[in-house]
Amino acid sequence: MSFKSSLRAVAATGIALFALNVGAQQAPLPYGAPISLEMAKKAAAAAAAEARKNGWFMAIAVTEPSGDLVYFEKMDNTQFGSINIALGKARTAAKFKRPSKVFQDLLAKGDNFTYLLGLEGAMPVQGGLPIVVDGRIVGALGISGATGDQDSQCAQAGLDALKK
Amino acid sequence: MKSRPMLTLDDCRKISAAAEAEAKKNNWIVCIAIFDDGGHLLHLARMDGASPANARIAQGKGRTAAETRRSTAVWEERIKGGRNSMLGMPGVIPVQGGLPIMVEGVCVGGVGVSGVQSHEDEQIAAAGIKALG
Repeated sequence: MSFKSSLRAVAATGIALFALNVGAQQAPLPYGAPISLEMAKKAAAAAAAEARKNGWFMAIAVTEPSGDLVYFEKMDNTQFGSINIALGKARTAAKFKRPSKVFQDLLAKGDNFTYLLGLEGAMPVQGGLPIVVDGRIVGALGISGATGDQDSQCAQAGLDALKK
Repeated sequence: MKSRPMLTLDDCRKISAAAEAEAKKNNWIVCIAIFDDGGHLLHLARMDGASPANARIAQGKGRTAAETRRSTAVWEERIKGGRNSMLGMPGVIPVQGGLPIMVEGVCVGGVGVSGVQSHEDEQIAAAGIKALG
C-alpha cells in the first residue's frame, strides 16, 4: 500500500490522529470545500441523539475548516458555559486539523508540552473532531456538556452518522 | 416568584426552519442565529454559500435584539437620526436584521439574520418568529 493510499484508508476510517510531534514527518490531510448545512445538521442530530440516549445535555457546534460556524444547537438544560466550549473545541479541530484530544494528551505528558497552552485558538480539551470526507477536512464537530469522555462519545457518534 | 416563558430547542428549530424556508422561497442565502434573553446562542444555521461574515453578523444582530429587547433596526434608525454616540454602546450591532422574540409581552430571545439586504434579513427573521404562533 502506497503512502497516499494508506493515508486515504486512515481518513476513511475516521482515525485522523496526527500528534503534533509527528506532524513534520506525516503530512496532515488537506482542507476540502466547507461542509454543507445538510451534512452539518446530520452530524449534529446524531450527536444529540447519542446525548439524549444517555441523559446528557450538550451544546453541539459544527464549523467549516476556517473555524466559522455552519450549524449550532444547544440542547435544553445545557450549561451556558458549554456554548463557547463546544465552539472552541470545533475550532481547534478545524484549524489545527486534528482532534482536540491530541492537545489534551500531549499536555498530560508533562512540561515539554506546556507551550501548547500558548497556541492561539487551541483548546486542549477532548470533544472536538475534524470531519473528513474523501480524504479532505471539510469541517469539525465540537461537543460540550458532560465529561470529556462523554463529549467525545457524542462527537464520534456524530461523525459515524456521516459514514452511513 | 415570577415565572416567564423560555425558548426550547424545539422552538428554535421551528423558528430556524421557517426562516430558512422564507429565504429559500426568495432564493436568498443567509445565516440565521437564535439567542435566549441572556444573549446565549441557542441555535445557528448557515445556508450553503453564506459567508463566515454572515455567521458573525447574524450572531451580532440576534444577540443585540435579544439583549436590548428591540429590533436592531431601532438602533440603526437612531444612528441615522444623528445619535452617533450610539455607536459606542457595548455589544450593540446597529444594523437591521435582528428582531426580539416576544411571547406574552416578554422578550424570550432574539433572531438575527445576515446574507441579503438588511430589510430582507429582517423579513426572514420575522417569518421565523411567526412560526412560533
